[in-house]
Amino acid sequence: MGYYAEPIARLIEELSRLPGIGPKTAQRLAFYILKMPKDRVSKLVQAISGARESIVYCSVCGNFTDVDPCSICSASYRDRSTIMVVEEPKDVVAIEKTRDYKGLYHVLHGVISPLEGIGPDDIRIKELLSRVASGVKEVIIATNPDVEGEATALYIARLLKPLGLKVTRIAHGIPVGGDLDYADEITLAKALEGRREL
Amino acid sequence: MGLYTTEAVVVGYRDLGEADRILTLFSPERGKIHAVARGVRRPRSPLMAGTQLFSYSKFLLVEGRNLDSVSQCEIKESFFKIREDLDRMAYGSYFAELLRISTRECDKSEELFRFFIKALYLLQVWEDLQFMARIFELKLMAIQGYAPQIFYCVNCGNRKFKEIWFSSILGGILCEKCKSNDKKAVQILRETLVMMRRMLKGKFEDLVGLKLEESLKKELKTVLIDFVLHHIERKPRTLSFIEDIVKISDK
Repeated sequence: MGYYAEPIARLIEELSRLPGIGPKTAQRLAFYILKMPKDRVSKLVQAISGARESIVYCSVCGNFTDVDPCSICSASYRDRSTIMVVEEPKDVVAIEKTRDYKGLYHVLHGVISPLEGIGPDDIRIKELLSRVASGVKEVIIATNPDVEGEATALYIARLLKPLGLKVTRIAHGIPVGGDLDYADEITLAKALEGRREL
Repeated sequence: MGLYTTEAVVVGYRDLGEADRILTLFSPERGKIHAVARGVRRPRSPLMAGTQLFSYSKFLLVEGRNLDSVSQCEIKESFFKIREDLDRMAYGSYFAELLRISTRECDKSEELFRFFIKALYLLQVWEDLQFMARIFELKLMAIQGYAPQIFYCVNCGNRKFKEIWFSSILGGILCEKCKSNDKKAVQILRETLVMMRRMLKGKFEDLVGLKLEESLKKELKTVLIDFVLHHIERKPRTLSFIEDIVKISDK
């Protein structure tokens, strides 16, 4: 026998499938939703299904978008000779927030992870190869500086170098507001390598 | 809830939740253990450096109900050169995966730990990585108790051979009379057998400078990978990554 009425049980089950949401959190969210005014619930439902239905992958860069190609790929003022390779759509947002970068993006939707069995064919590397053929001069690799990100960067660099492209990697160093004491020797060495005159 | 310190090398990890990671550590005192490193994926986490793959660090761990968690860690050797080079990184992940799947949890072995750390040091400087991987496979299997019998026929004890056959199932070499005991046995060259004996008995570091012919390397690869797969019963994921890299490097 179930402890909840069937629709509640179903709601809890669906919520608990979301990442980072365990059974207790799902239960709390479900009860909260039940107490919400009806119009707010229907707004939430519409927002979820609306986003899911109208958002597609950009056919050029692979980012999430509602118009294809996306607003970044179709913007005329953007520098088309530079492509920045990132792991996830959220990384595009992070870079865009800096307002310093004016080139295009390429979203891999994952990283090569030998330990998890994710190989180069499972992420969008092939699409990148077909893109760089047309007038691209520089590819900036902005994957995370962890083992997988580094492996992906090295793999892409090895693929692109023979094509005569400039392949660059974002810098590693001490984070702003960080503590030198906690930085490891690799980060410190990298920061020293990339030091600048004041 | 107790606190304990241990040295360990990170042989694997898995992301957990928003910013946490479950690490697989291999420690000389406790063997293979799992521990949660909380907040380690945030850019300013003090745990970040010491918990990267292949990092050899000193950990302060807190015992938990299900999983222990990392309270502090201090890096002893980062093995950064392995992470900086695609081929070394691929082979390093392969070594780590073999170690992970061939050991049980909390099964401590100082010998295995010392062997693995030595392999990581050598991996930073070794030139012929393919050959190194074969030595690692053979030596790891021997430490884990699966050393192949390569000094006499595993079936009849014969020490004189006209033909030499290797059987993964029977775990050693077979002479020409006994080869029918395993239909899958493969014939190997005398040089291959001599090299395998040297790889098994010799010190890891003494084999660094050896140059092997391609044919010999190929035969060692066929024999040893088949032998390893027979014992661990599933193909390591990292092996296909090594194949991917070889593909693009040949182009």
